[in-house]
Amino acid sequence: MKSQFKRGILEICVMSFLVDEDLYGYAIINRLSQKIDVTENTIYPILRRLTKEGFFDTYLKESQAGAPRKYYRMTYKGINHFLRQKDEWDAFISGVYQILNQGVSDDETILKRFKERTES
Amino acid sequence: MMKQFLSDLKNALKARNIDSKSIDDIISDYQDMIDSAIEEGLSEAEITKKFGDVQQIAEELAALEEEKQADHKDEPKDVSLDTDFEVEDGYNLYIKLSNDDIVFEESENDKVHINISNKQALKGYTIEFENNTIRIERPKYSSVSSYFKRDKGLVFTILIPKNISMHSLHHETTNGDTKADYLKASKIELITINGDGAFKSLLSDSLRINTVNGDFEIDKGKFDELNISMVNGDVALRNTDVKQDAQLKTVSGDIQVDTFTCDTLFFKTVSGDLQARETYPKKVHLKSVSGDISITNKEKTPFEILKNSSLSGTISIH
Repeated sequence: MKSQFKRGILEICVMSFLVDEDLYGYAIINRLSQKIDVTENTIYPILRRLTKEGFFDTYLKESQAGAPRKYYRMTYKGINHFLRQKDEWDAFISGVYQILNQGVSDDETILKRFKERTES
Repeated sequence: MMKQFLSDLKNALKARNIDSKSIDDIISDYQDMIDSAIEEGLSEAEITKKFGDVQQIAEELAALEEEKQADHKDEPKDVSLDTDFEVEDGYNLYIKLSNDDIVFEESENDKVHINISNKQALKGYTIEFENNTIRIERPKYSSVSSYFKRDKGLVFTILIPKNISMHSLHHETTNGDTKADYLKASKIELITINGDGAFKSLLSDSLRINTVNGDFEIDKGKFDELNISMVNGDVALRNTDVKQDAQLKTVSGDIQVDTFTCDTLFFKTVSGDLQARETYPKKVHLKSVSGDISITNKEKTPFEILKNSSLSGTISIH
């Protein structure tokens, strides 16, 4: 459950990188792992899945060091999918925040409130 | 060292019966990523550590291949399902969907008829009838990931018998649109995130609409109580009579009203506007931050103003 949940979120993050520019696999992995604690072996399957679904296509481009790299490029199908998913994610996460932050949001106050209710 | 990693990965993939073309693709992608990592100055030991356990990678990829095959099995086939429900007076209709559209139609028949059509399998949906209540529910997704994977939904056509009274209609949807030319129930609740609604001849003792971005349009409404709460969606009400109070709440969505009567009209807005023409409330209670409010009627019928407050919006009456 936890890893499935994470995979859905990572999919959106990966797609969002490709909105502005085409990137090669290792660059995507690097950018993502700078912000989120992920291992490389969870990201490659995501790239592969999204490519198979037709959300990305790929092409080879020479790198400075010689060997050509495989670049991932967002398709129209991909951007449509991304926007819809982003909307759903926004709606979902705003609901979660609303629930979690009812009343006050700092830990100390929440704990105090809970204690008052249970210890009286 | 990297050669060892790649050959281990290849063997692990082979052991999981992945086809050889996919294996070649995967190995070439990994070769590519390893080259990039080396160019960025990572040592082979660091890379091996970074790329992790070949068995785990193979496991993930095997699951992906299997998923692809399973998807293939569910390839678009035309599904059309027709079901009749023998409801009695006072029946309930409970609907909870995600991306599916609904069309309600009036029928001379004495059964509720549901038709579902789309080039998609109906897998996982619940449609049941128990205790005079019809329940239609979307598949229960076990994870956020599959929640995000859904594409376009189904289309439900529901024929509502004219001569049998419906007690409650609960309709909850994320993106699906709803359309009805005639709909009557003692209690109606419509809840959407992005779904739109278009209704003609909507009758209810109590109508409640709750939407985030959906647009709603009602023509010929008759209600005892009306309660609309919205964030960004726009609402249009025409030829509508509310016996008691009409409560309209919006953040930034606009409300347009034309030919409308009610007891007390409560309107609360942050920045959404209310434009009400041919509107005959007995009383009004208006509260706005920056939204503009205009209420007019040709007869110049006076009404009592219970509250009339606005921070920066303009309020014009008559």
